[in-house]
Amino acid sequence: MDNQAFVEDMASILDVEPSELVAGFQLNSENFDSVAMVGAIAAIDEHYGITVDSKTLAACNSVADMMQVIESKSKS
Amino acid sequence: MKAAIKAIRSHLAPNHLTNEQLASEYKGWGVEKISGKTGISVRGVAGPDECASDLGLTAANKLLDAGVISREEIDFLMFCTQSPDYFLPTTACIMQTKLGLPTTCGAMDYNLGCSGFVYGLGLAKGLIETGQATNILLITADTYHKYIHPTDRSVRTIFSDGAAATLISAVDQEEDILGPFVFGTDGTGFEQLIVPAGGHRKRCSTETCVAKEVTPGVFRAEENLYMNGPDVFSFTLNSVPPLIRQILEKSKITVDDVDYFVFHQANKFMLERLRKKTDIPENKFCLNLESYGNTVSSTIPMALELARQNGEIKVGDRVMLAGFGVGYSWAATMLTIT
Repeated sequence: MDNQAFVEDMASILDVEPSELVAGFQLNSENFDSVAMVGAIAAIDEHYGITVDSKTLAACNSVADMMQVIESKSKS
Repeated sequence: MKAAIKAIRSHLAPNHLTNEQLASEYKGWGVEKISGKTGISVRGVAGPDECASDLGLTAANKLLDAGVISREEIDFLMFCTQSPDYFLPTTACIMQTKLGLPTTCGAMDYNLGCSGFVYGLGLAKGLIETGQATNILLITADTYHKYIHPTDRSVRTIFSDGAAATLISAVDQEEDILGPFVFGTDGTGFEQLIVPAGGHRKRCSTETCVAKEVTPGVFRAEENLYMNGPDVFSFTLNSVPPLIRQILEKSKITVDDVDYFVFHQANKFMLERLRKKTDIPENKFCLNLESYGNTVSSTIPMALELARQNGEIKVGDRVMLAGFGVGYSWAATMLTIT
């Protein structure tokens, strides 16, 4: 698990500073469009070795939701 | 007798769509962002009266005029497209006449996208090595831009209208030049890259041509191309690494034994991720879509032609080809450069 590197990648994808990317950071249709989702799928694949499907990712409303998906997928 | 690729010629639609043009139309999408993500500088766009078959004819005439083979010697024509001239007749039949090929020539269309070139090679090998044909002209061509709504930047920045003509001939030798092959299909993804209306499942109507705003500033009608980019990306991450493992196993070789890898040139971002995931060295991996774009079934032959011209591949090299996309459909093979 490489949380820091992942957070840095996600901050770049969402065009924010890494310090802004706290668990409660909200994902919406404006900041989390299809291009950002493709970036997130790649970042999750690179840092955790998990391929998340687009429906699961689209259902994430916050960074905390996304981390929960990664955690549960890592265990399965 | 074994099947071998003897020549490739390609043709990009003459109207070019540049990153500068796209950046001027799409707010927040700068030239650098577009080229950085896609790896593409220029895309071909077919004219209003220019069909995929017209692009294919230009590529085929380039090949037939190169003196590699006479028109009379072609005994089979295969046309891979998702943009046919008509529902019927078969576009390849029209092309047979326009190319001046003999009436003893077999001709067929088949409908595949990004996996289509590798499928065509597999079919050609079967026809040649069972003695059914000797010189096969495989033409791949598509005009996706005719399906794309101009505001749909996610697909307009990637896809490109173009064609390639590949000559596959019988050669007198014992050892395989082409193959083995691995094929795969997962039709559960059929709605993720689709033109929903226009076929018989949903005919064109006054409703299907109405473009609706699907996300701010992006409009799409049911007669337009829809791509669920994140789903297509997940599909490739899930399906391509096993495809590469399978073709290596079937060929009884490792990554080190392969001189060059030509994957379907979808976009730079996806290809870079796939390369890292499959542990392929950067210097052996083809990234050749800057001046072509994603021409669907023609990306692999276009990249092969350019790699041969640039000296990236030479006679005797073992090259892996892998196509994957719409369907979902995928295929891979090994090719020895002759």
